[in-house]
Amino acid sequence: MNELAELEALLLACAQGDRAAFRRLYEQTSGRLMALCRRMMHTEEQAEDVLQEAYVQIWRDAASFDPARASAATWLAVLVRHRALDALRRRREEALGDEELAAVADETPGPLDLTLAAVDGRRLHLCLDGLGERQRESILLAFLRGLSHPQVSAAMAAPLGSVKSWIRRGLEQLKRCLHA
Amino acid sequence: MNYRTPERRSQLAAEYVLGTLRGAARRRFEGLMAADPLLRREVRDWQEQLYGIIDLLPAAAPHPRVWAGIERRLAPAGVLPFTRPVPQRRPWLWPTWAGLATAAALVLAIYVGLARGPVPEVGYVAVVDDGSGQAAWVVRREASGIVVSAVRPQRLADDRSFELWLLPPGGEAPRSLGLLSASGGTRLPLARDLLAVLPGAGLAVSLEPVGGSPTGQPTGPVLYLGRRLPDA
Repeated sequence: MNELAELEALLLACAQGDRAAFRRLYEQTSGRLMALCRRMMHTEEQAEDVLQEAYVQIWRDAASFDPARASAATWLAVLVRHRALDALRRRREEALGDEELAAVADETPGPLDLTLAAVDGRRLHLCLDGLGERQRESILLAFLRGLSHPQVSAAMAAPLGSVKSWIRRGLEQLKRCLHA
Repeated sequence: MNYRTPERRSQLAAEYVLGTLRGAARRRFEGLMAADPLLRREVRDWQEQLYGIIDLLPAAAPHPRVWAGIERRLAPAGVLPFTRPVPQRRPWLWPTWAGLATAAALVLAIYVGLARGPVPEVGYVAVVDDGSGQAAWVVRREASGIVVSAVRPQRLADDRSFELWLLPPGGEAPRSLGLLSASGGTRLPLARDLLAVLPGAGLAVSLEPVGGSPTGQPTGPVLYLGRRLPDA
């Protein structure tokens, strides 16, 4: 069984209440999902909290996994990213109430680490690498920090119109490259 | 907004997944997605592509205390590593509602009925439509309740109100969530116990006398039903 099919089988077993499957799922996926939490959150402790909360939800929500709507790996990643974005948003709201824009500076204390590992055969890496620096940065800020267009604009100290066009053109180019 | 060209559809799908499509534009897009399988496919493709970013991050196992914490959370009693009842897949049944819903409404494919855990999800989004595939409202879960936005203004007689109902999983009696504005957005507070069952519950909108149902249960025809959207 290849890895993707195995993940899918484990998730479906979790949905049936199989605790051993949940443990195996954790062993197989927590390293990768922790990497996402580490990159999105500011401290190791925050990353661990988010990961823990996410796995509790994975166990409880496993029955809602539908292979027709997402691969198992992506379903897990979407869930973890949303928990991390919630945590980032909560921190922002606690810190500054409604002044979301003013919070951007606070929200990105360690500047976002934009380095991505070159993984053999990963076309996505080549394609992201082929983007303009600002296109790549604005897309990763939106994805990993959950920033809106105006927030990316504030974080990069760049005009809103430029940010919108970097993101739009960057995504277009990404798609062309990925499908080339 | 123009949704027709393939380029535009792809771009909106990408920004939907990325999270930069926000506010009214996001709600309109969700309304379209509900009625358009190809658009959902586009979103799914972007999701698979963009989340590939994870494979480019340096993986490293989390500290063992994370797993210990998960076990603790799932088994507060601590007798077994953790236990919980086997989740029940609940087929969608409307025992007390069948008489109220129109025949057309009953044959709608509703897939919101899977039991979900007690953790309320902020990402929860549902589309409420009339069965023609035209979304009427988008329901979004927020920290303290839900926000219901009219995708387009609805026609409503002066002596009538739209009332939103939550249909708890397991066929319990519907719970009123409040009256909906026929245009624009309505923010409705939601008790914590209802927030917790929201992801596994159904939603419906009935036509009631102005001010809402006098009985606390739906009295008018069910005009719209909710469908949960996949998380982006």
